[in-house]
Amino acid sequence: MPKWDKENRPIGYILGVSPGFSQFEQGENRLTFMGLAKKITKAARLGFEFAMIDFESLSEMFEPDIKQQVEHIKRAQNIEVGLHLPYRMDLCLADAYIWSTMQEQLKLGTIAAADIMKAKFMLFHTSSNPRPNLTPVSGQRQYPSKMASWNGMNFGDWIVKESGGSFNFKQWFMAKFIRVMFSAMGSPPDVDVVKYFDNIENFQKEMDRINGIFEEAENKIKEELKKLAEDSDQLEKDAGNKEKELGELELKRSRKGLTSEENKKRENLIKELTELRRTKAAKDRRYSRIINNSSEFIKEKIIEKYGKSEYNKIYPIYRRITLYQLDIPSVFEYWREHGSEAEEYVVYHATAKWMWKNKDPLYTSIVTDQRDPDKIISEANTKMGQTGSLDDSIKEIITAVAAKYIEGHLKASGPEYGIPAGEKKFVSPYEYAKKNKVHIFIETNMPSEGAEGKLRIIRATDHIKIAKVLDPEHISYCLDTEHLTTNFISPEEEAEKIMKTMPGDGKYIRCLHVNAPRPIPGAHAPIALLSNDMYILYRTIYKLREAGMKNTYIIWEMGSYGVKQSAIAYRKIIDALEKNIAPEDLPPEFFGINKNFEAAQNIAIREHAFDPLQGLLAVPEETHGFLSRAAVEKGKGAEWKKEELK
Amino acid sequence: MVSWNAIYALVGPEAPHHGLGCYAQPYEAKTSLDFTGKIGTGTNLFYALVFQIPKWGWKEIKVDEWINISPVHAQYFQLTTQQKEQLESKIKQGLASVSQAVADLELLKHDLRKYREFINYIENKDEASLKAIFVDQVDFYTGGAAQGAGRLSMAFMRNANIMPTIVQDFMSMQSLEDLEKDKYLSNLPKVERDMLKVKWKAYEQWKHIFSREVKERYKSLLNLVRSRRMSVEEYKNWLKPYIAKHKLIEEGLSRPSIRKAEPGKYYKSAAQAVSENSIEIFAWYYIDVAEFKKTSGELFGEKSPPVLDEFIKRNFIFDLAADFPNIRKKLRKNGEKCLVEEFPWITEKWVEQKTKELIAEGSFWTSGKEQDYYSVFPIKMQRDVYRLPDGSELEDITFDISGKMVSKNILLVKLLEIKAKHEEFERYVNQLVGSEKYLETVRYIKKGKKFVAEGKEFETMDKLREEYPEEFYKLEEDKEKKRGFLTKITDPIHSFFNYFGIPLKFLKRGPYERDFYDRIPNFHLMTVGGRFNTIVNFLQSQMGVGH
Repeated sequence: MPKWDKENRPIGYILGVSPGFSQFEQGENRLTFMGLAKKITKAARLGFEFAMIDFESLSEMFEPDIKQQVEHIKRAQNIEVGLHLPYRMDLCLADAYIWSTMQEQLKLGTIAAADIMKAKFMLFHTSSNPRPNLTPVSGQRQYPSKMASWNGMNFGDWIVKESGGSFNFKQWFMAKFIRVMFSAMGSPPDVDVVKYFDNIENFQKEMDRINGIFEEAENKIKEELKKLAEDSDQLEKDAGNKEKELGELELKRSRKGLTSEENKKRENLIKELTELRRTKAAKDRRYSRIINNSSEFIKEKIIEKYGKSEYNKIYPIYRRITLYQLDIPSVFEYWREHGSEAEEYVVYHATAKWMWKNKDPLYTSIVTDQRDPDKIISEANTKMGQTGSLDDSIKEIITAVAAKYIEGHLKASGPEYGIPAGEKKFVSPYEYAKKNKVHIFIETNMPSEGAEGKLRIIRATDHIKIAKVLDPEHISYCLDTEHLTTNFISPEEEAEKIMKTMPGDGKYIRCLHVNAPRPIPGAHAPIALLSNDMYILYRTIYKLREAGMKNTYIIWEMGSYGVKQSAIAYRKIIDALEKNIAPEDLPPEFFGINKNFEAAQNIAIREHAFDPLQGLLAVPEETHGFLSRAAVEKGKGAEWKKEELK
Repeated sequence: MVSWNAIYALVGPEAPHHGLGCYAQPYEAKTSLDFTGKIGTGTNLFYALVFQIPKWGWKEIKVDEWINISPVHAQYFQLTTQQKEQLESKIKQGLASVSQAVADLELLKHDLRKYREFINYIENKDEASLKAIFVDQVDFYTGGAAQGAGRLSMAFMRNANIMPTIVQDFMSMQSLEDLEKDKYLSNLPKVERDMLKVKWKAYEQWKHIFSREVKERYKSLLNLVRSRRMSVEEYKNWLKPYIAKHKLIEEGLSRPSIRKAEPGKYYKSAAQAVSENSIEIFAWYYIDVAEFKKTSGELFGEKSPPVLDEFIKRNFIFDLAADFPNIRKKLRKNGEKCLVEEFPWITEKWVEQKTKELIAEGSFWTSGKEQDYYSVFPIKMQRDVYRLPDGSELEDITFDISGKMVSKNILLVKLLEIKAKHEEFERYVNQLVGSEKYLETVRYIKKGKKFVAEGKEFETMDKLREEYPEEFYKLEEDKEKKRGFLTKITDPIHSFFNYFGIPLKFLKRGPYERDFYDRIPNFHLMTVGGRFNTIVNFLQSQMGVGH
């Protein structure tokens, strides 16, 4: 009999079956097994000790009296169940509408598992959609849409909310994704600006610096102009004095003439006055030049101090934003207030940056390269196809963000996202499940065609890390051998990796979905006892056991091919596992080569030893034995037959 | 049938005389004697003659007979035709029994062959075949299933693609040890090796049971076949006399020539009770010509020529007038055939064998002494019985007698023909009882790459075989004979005379008499004429002519 601990986690191995979807049944069976309760009846008759029931549609939980039906059948069949939430559920998506849809599914699924099915666990796939295109090769092109943050907030709101600490998230976002701001205005982005801010951490700070440089230059120019004006005035004044003095001399000269000394003075005055006028004119001309061409003089000043290169970089930014009065912060507000529309990769990138800045445990445990994700993403973009490790890092970053979104879904509460738990009280699905002792399993999904290996969370190791970070006591990984292989991951290699890099962490694999090793999505093939499949399966499970997987559901998911020998096969596997028999030491009995097999073989020989002599024309060989016509003619054919081999 | 016309054309007085054979039919030695009398008088004449001929020391043999009885002639009809019908009925029943017995025997033989096949596998240690049998017919049922391979069988494992190579792996096993030591087999998946262990043991067990049983059953079956074969032979032997009797009562109307002549017989009316009985006797006796060897010695010394020579083989037995193209053409035009054309099953070996029998010392056929010339008398007796409306009966008998002289090789041709006819009778009986050794013989000639049989051309031997299956026909190849003027016979002679520069035109060839008109009428035909008269006189005397 299966056993569970007080948190409803399996003790030892529990052999379970998933009866599959009723819609894949043939003919009348589609109706016979339609609905949650009826699927339990089917599962109970397949020879297993536990049933995992698949939601085909959430509406199944709204079947009238379903709770009573399930309770009755569980009691009658003496079987416990787990609940598999809709298989295409994806909690990793940032599209706000989808996020809320998925949250609805999670909420309802949790309620169904806890209240209707009284399930031992609920299980959902972590990711069903390909990665976003953080880099050209990391994922598919996506449409801009209104985005939600990992916890279900308006993405822009969340940015603002998270901008209070040492890391000004909003300023980083405005700089890094200024293109999004241009898009919000409906204008084409300025290449220089976008390019310039790509590597800027704080938009306002940078703008302040640029504006400061230009102000500094302007001030210097202003000071010069002032001085020029003052100098001009003084020269004018001096010239006026000299002219007055010269006028007096000229009057005297016309009236009575001048003395030589006066003549000399007169000549000196003329010379000085001329000089004064020339100097003033020069000052005035410069003044005019500066006034008429001030930007050139500012440029000169900036170049003089910061060099030509810096001027060339900052001038376009200064011109497009300061001079044209482009108010990016206002645009951000507009963008945020209108739903924060962007592509999903923008959200993933921003969230990754935020997680990195905040040393989020999901990020630190999943992402190996702990450098600034901006750098990693930038390098991955510019060195595309040159290094595999960067691609791996990008995958890890996406996995970490996707995991954060799952966390957000699980822990989202409040009247909109939470589950009612008393008057005006709403708890998160996670809290609700925990409270009802419904263990949560996260599972790698089966990819759709073309998305093999492209899902956001795939590896067993990553799932274990997620479970460990979120709540290892109440959240575990369900390893699906078929789903891993169809995502190009070898379950055995994953087991080895766990042993090597996360020793003992196999214990967080508390559920195993395992079918005949047919790496075709949805094969869900039955197991033939007498087959090498048995060995392969056993070897895989044995390795996982070595990695720590000792208390777990082993669930065979039934497809359209029937159960056949699967139940017997798994019982054999569990029996050998419990005896800790190494794969190479498996006895012939493990494969069903036992006394019964030998008996069947002997019967075949007894019954058919002389079949090769069939086709005899005169001797009635097969019907009643050799030379036994007399016996048959006497009506003793049956007796002869019985005795023929004695 | 090699007709007297054909013989006449090649070795008669008008033929090119090369001494290769001899045939003469004097006009005087040909007559027809018709006698009518009370019932029984014709029969008395017939028996008087046929019993007299041996008394003269001659040899005689019946070569043909047929009857034609009008149903109006109730009493005689019952004696003959009805008897034939009764025989037919018995034959039919007998044939059915024989047929059943033969069929049973053939079925048993089929089974025996099948067992023999398995015995061969076992004795020759043909493991590959035995393994294949085991996989397909014994192990196939392991794990039981109403249809298809049992789910624990190797065939199932292979067909269901669970262990796609298991059958091949099983076939490559030589022993259990291979699963541990063989480079390939030892690396198979464990489950397959475990399964192969069980299968190998089962195979050994089956082989033991099967071998022992098959051997024992083979012995039993062999005895059964022997017994059944004997019973078939017994059936056949029992049936043969009935068939023979039936065959011997041959109705004349079964022959086209007699059927054709029937409406024109002026003395027969459908309203009258008339019966006809035709019997042909062939009688012969040697002629001792004292001077013969003087001439024949030119070529063959004092030794008597062999009775079976190339000349008759090429011109009468295996081909018709092969050495005389012009004559051949004429004969063919008249529908003449050689012996082999009449009896296709005849082989060289048969001819040689029969010749030996014919000339063996003390043989009935040679009159106890082999001579080079013979007088022969084909005597055809047509006996008609008329029952008149007043109840009285008349008997009319007509003897058509001719006296001929033939060289011994020509006699051989006729005697071989009679032998063949008798054997044909035996063949007929055997064929009728379904004896396997008498297959119909079809003769063919190889022409380049093609095969010609019965006027049809076949591209290959296989196609010829398709047309004439082995079960029903025996194919006998005829070496294509080079036809021409005595090439084979004369070549050595030609060379001999060339050596001495003697022109061939002066050569008198052949071992038999060439100087036909000088010697035959004077010596040989004198004897024939005398003997002819003896017969005629005897009959006339019996008929009371001249009394």
